[in-house]
Amino acid sequence: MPDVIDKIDPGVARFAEILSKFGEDPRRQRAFDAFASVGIPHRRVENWRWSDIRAGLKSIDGAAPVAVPADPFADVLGAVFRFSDKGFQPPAKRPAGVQYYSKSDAPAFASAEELPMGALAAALADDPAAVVIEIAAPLAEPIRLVFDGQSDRFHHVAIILREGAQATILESCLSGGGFANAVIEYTLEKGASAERLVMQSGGASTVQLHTAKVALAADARFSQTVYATGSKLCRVETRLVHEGSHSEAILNGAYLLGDGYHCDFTSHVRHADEDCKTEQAVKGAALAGGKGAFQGKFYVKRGAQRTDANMQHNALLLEDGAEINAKPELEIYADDVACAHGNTCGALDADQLFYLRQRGIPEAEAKALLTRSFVADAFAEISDEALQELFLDAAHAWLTEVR
Amino acid sequence: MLVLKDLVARVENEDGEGKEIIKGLSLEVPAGEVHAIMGPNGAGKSTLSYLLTGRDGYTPISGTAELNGENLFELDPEERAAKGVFLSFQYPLEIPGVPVMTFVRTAMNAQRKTRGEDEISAPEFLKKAREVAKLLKIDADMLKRPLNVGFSGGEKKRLEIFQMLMLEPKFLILDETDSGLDIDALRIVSDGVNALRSDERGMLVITHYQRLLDHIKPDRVHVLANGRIVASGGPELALRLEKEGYDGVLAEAAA
Ligand SMILES: Nc1ncnc2c1ncn2[C@@H]1O[C@H](COP(=O)(O)OP(=O)(O)OP(=O)(O)O)[C@@H](O)[C@H]1O
Ligand SMILES: [Mg+2]
Repeated sequence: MPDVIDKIDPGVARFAEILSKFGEDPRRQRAFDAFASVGIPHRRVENWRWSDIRAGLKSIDGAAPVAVPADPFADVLGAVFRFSDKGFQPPAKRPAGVQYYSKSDAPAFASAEELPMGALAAALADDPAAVVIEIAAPLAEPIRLVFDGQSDRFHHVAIILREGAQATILESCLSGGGFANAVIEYTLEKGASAERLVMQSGGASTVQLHTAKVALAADARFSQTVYATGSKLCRVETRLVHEGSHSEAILNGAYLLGDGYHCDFTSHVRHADEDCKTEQAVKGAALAGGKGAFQGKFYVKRGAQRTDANMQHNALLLEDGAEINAKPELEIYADDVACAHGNTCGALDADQLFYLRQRGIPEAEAKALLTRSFVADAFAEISDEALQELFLDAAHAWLTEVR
Repeated sequence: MLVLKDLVARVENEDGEGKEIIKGLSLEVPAGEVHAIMGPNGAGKSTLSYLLTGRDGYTPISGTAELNGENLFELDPEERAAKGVFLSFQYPLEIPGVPVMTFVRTAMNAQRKTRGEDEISAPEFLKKAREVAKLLKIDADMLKRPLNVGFSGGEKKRLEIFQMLMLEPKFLILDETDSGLDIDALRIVSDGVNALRSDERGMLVITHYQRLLDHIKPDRVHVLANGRIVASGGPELALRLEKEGYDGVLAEAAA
């Protein structure tokens, strides 16, 4: 008996205590149990090898928060849904074509077993328990979701694009401190189209988990681009399912990591129907003391014929002492498919660097220029030129300021 | 202008293993003059150009290299560039994602900054780029493409000279700029180079063929073999090499 008591993770107990304040709530309890069965992931837990949440949470315990980083999307037009440690703040005016509901009762979280940390966010989300945003038509302006704060917080958001709806959703994932854990469920009905652009930025004493679950019906199109500069520990995770035929997904992104920063891009794409397409291009770069990870998996179900899926991860180690790990995986049970993956990790090209310097460009600037051009591919699918420029500028600012 | 005395230099790989390629080389290029360097494959001509521009792995062992009295070996590659040293590469590099115009403007402003000068204004830069492109018969579309990516061999060489005319360096090293150029391009590029000839500039033209020297007329011709200058003369030396090959000249030098 004492054995079992020993095994109760004190980290889990801390979250169980938060759960207890909601009283009897089977939906929250179910989500929480899914999390608790795994516990707080650490190095020896499958899929969390390079994101030791247990160590991360321990290291930020009692750390003083810093200012919340500036929002790169601040000047972009669009209704703002704000999720922070001070509660939910809806937009001043409801945008045309959009309905939203604040749920006081927690809705069920369907993928709890696949996303234990997402399940934790769903189990503990408070004020409100969840926000559901329904988009019924093509939108003229983007919708912005701003996640920010300086202390522990949990958010659960569901975004539903009805048949034929079209929207650009900008997510700002900003943190000055604490454990920020958000889960966002995207449901795209037949022929719907969503562009999801995520900007992540955090301090060196915050843990950020930003998880998306995406379901695509037939003919739906989902195009995602993430830019991340990491935090003490940061994981941007996307779990996408092609549920209907002829759906398309783009899962691009770039992470740039300075000394003391970590970021993990994890994605799982399931091709469950025929003729679907997934394109993924992730670029990463790290300085000495920066730690990056990429885990990408494509799973092609039996019968998901003519799946066309391509995964590319390319990483740059800008200095000795930078660390980037990658695990690209394909698991294919259909015979008529075109699936590919590529993964590279290396330093900047010394010959190119010399060429730039011979033309008078100082070493640091030359490295920044080459890195920027390396990263730029990851932003190539952003449909709006101004938004694409915003991503390039953010990367450029990091390259010139941080390094 | 450029004075090299008893240069000895090694080429080293990343593991620090290396061998001596430049073995006691002396050479002087006064301001206002164009000197040609010819020599067999593997003699050390490109090595000399990298040594003078400061590429990693090209290490001076002894001897001196001065530009206008200043020790080149004490300067970083970008500092040498700001002092006006320009190398037209034998094999220009491809730089994906960086359009030609962006690249040249970045380089120009970086050099100006190092020299303590103001940046060039956008309209002024554009105007100059247009003029130079016209002179070299370079299509405006090409200047919007990423530098050298997918360019033909000749286009790359032409782009090297475009950069040179834009940056207006003081000391020019042309490493086999003629290779890969068609007959018309050779003339156009040579005209471009000749446009930069002036009393304050020096040039080192590395080539295997007289045809380039028909257009860019050298004041002196040197033969580099086995890491040394083994023979020097006027333009007639190049004509003799063209006719006889290297055997005669090398035999005389050895005697
Ligand atoms: N990075 C390097 N690593 C190893 N050997 C090198 C390196 N660079 C030059 N060398 C060697 O040094 C010698 C001189 O080479 P270099 O390129 O200077 O010749 P070159 O005179 O320019 O010849 P070419 O006329 O063919 O261009 C050659 O034997 C070459 O193999
Ligand atoms: Mg050579």
